[in-house]
Amino acid sequence: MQFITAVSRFILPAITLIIIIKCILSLWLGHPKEKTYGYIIDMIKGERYALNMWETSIGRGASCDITLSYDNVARTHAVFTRRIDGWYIHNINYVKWKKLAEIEGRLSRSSRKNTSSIIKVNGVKVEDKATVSDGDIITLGNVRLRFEVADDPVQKAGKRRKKSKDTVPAPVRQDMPLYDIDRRQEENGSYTVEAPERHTAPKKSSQPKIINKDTGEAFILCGNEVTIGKGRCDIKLSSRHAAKKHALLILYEDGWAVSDCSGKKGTYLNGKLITSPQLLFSGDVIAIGDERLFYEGGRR
Amino acid sequence: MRTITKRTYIVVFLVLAFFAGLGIMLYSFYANGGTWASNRANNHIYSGGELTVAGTIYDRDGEALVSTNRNERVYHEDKSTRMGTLHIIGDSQGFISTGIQTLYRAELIGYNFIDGIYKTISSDEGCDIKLTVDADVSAAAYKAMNGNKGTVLVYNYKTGEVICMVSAPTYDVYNKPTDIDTDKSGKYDGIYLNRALTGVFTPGSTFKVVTAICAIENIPDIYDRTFTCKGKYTTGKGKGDGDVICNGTHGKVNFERALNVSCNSVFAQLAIELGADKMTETVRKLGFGKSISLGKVKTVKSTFSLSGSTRLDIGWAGIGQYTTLVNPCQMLMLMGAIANGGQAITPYLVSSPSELLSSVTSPVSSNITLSEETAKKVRKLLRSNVKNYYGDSKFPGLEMCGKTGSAEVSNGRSHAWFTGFSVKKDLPYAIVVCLENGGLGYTHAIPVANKVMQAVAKMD
Amino acid sequence: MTRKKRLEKGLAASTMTGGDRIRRKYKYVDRAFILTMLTVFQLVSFIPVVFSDGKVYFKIILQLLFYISFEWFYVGVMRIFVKKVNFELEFIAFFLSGIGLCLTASVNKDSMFKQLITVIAGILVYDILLWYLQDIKRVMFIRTPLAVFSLLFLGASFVYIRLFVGQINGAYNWLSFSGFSLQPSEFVKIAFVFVGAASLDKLLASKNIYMFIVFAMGCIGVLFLMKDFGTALIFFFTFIVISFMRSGDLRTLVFICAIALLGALQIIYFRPHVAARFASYRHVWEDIYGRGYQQTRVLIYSVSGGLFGVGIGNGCLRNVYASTTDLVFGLICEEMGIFIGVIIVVAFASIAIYAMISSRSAPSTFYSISACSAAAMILFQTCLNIFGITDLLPLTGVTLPFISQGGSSMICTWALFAFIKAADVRAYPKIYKTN
Repeated sequence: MQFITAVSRFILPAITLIIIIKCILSLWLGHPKEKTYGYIIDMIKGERYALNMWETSIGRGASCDITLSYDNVARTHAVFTRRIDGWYIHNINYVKWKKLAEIEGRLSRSSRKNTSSIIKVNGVKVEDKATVSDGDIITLGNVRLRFEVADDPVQKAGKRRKKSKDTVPAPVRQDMPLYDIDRRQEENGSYTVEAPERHTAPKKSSQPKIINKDTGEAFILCGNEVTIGKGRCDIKLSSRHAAKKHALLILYEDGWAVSDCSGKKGTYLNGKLITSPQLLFSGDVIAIGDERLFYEGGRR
Repeated sequence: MRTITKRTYIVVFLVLAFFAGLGIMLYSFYANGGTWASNRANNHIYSGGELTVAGTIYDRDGEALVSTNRNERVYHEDKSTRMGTLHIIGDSQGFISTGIQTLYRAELIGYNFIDGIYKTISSDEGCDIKLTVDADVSAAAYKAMNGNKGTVLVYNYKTGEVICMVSAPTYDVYNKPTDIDTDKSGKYDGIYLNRALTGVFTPGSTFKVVTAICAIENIPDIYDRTFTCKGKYTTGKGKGDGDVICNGTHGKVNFERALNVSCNSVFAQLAIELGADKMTETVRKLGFGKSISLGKVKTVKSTFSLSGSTRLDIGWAGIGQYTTLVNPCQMLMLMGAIANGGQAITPYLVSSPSELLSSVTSPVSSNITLSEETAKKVRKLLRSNVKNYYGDSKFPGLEMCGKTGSAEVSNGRSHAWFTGFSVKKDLPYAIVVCLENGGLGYTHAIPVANKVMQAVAKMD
Repeated sequence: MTRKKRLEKGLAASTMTGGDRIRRKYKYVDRAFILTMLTVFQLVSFIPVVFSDGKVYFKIILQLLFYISFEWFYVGVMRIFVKKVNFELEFIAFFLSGIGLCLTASVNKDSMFKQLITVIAGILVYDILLWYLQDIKRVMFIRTPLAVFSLLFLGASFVYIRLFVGQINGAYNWLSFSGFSLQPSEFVKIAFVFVGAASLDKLLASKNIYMFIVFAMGCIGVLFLMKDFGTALIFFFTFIVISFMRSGDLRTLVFICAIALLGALQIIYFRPHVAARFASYRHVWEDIYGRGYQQTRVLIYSVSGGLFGVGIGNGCLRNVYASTTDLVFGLICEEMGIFIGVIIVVAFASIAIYAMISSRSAPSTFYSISACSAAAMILFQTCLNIFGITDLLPLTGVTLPFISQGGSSMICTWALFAFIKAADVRAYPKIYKTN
């Protein structure tokens, strides 16, 4: 027994030290790297804010994670939360605002002036909270923001990967953030996919053009922006279902992209509703209303 | 969210406070571990308030003064040795606070911070301590004191080893008197005190050595002077003057003869001539007023003060009366310094284990500063005392130097003192005998000193 | 491996920074290795327990083997069926619970079984709570009912104890019926963290913390009535931590602390018997057979053990009252050594740091606040315990998490660990795809 005591006196502290140090080091150092889950783009100033936390407060005050210095934005206006089932925006002044509105409503029936706590997602007013998804336009007060997702919560990822197999260079198309070109270069590190296939993409024609499948009209794309719509646009449409200014073609560094500006009516690229600007590849079909436009041409 | 997560730094403050507390706790474990582990409530080593597991204490020859046998402390088998060494080694219960068993309790139970008392518990024996004292000399000293209260101290003035440190009254640990607490006759006065360390006594004539040193250093023609003793010395006619009574009428004497016969008239006269400042300076230089460290224990300080004193007071102080009180250990070191050519070696009690020796700061004590020249002159004077006055026959074969003293005290007989040393090459020992109310130094202290020194000489 | 995967891997390797390399290296501990170490530790530490008094206790062997196999089984099941990878926190908890089991069994052979049951129950509570915490919506849903329920529960149990049980060790904090007893305050600790923390949108929507203050003061008040000052102090401290994390307002907190201090002084002034309970603080050596009995014995025997202890079963502190509950740190120091004792308490401090690190990237401020406050609660309780029995703080009679004998405390600590774990995204590998 005495021998066992004499030995265990030193074995036990040694094992204790090993277990505790190994576990604590792993707890301290094995933490996953901070990720960027999405972006908020200030559409007035073109400022791009990364969302790298699960809960992000946004407002005028300096204590907010994202500070928007506009008078119309409340001190703390909204909270973006990333939950396991998707993204949400919370109107944190909702309760206060509702109470205020009730009091004011009783007094003068005019609560309209109180715009400071208004949140709209794609033009729809948010009361308590609402889900947001990639490409949504969010209005705080009168500041328009675009929301972009860089890393969806898990559930959607599985489906997405499956789909992406059908259309070739899918990763580029799906995850390509296409707003601010200059910034894109600076923040290159935060984009996860840098497709090597890009250089091998075929170059059929040096002049990209849009061909209206129904009328056979071709429109050679030039300049930096081309508008599509029923109204005064570069490419005129005749469909009843098209908006006055329905879609926009923008020239990026990597080529032309299509972006929807019709709001509810929607623009389809290869049969899929687009929610954010998407790069165009030769052979792509843009569907607006019941008209189909054919994109032909290489990329720069 | 960042504003919230930033506030998690409050946890850091808590963690820092925790580590501060942990540090304080561990430091107090480290600093007080020995005291705590050797507490009487520790059932690992104590049972019913008595040490059950502790190391052996040996004397210089390796004779066990106290050891542990089957969870009991066993003391030396000779009664006189037990009684003579009681105050050095202390008792099992810890009444004698300056005893080795009390002071070095933590060491005896083998405590150290790393192992605690694990080794002591697992092997049932603690750490041994070896002392410098000699069991036989202690027994001889105890017997020689013949029941008197007082103390006998012997140490090697070249190495500092304390050979004998006996304090009386004392008792036998195996047969402790039951009336110690109830007795009123005073026979057990200060029985738990080691008089050598914690006692102070009026020095009487032994203090004339100090006055002599002061005179040698400050009066150049001291050896050429002659003095006349008329049985008393009248300091003057003013206020605060008076007579210093001598122990005899010595007539015309020189300095050496005056010390031989211990003439009060001469030394009172010298003290007054030297004055309070010079006397105080010499006393200070000789280390009175500082305590001596013997390992973990410190002696009490000797006191000498002439502030606000009259001429008569200075006269009395010069012959070791007045308010002067000295500690026997201090006198021992003074003798050691004189014998060792001015260098006083610090006495020590514990010779091993070696880590305990480190508590002895340096062999040469800085307490006493004495020039080699003065030391030689004083040694000659003290040798002359024994040779020409007490007689070498009192110390057969010892070649002693020394000075007796009969300190007059207010109650009872005078304290009998002998302070001295041997100049024999193979006997470098200094001795102090102080018998409380023992009588005259010449008649009572010298025989005790002789017996003890004979025992020391027989020691191998 | 397809060409694409290889390409991705090559790309990943070439862009790896130093931080990435460290992250990958410490992503998780080698589970089999740590489990083996745990097994060896528990086998070695139980040898003197099993073979004590010249007998062989087969019952203890069986229980030990059950505990060890449970550890392997738990990790195996969680790995295979739940795909969990990280078990570091669980390993530390297993380790500490193992020490507690060993000391409990060593002092009293019959009480090990009960302790073992509570460890298993604690693990179950831990996993249930961890599962519940994964969805923030249901967490936020249950807060208000839980607050009301736990406050009622605490009040009701106080009334019950007052009427039918009476004081145990000078406090009304033991709810006992038909041979079974528990401490209600331990369970309210879990609710306290639950109610205190909230997600960011809720925090910002109602900035005031009045509801929480009312809840906290209610709990602390009942605990004061119960005369359970140690737990009341823990609650108060946790309240301070939570409200600082929620509001960041130092001035208010200083104000609250000042009021609390004034209140404490009032109590000491008007109720001297409360102060008398702490009279021996810093004076334990003056009364080593009376009020300072426990503290002085802890100090004496802790240093007697040295850094490596006198061996399990050889100590003397085990004969002192409450040696396996309040004084268990002293027992560890004496029998296993100050070294192990210090590592254990430092582990609690390290876990608090871990809670702080993981709460920065937690999926909600609820997790950040709950993890930090749970870790602070555990660390503060550890401080009160170990510094209380060594006389650096007044002795309040709180337990040492995981190690002290006692079911309520064990289950509560496991539950608090669930809060700490939930803040780490690695806790839910399926949801947060951390692998």
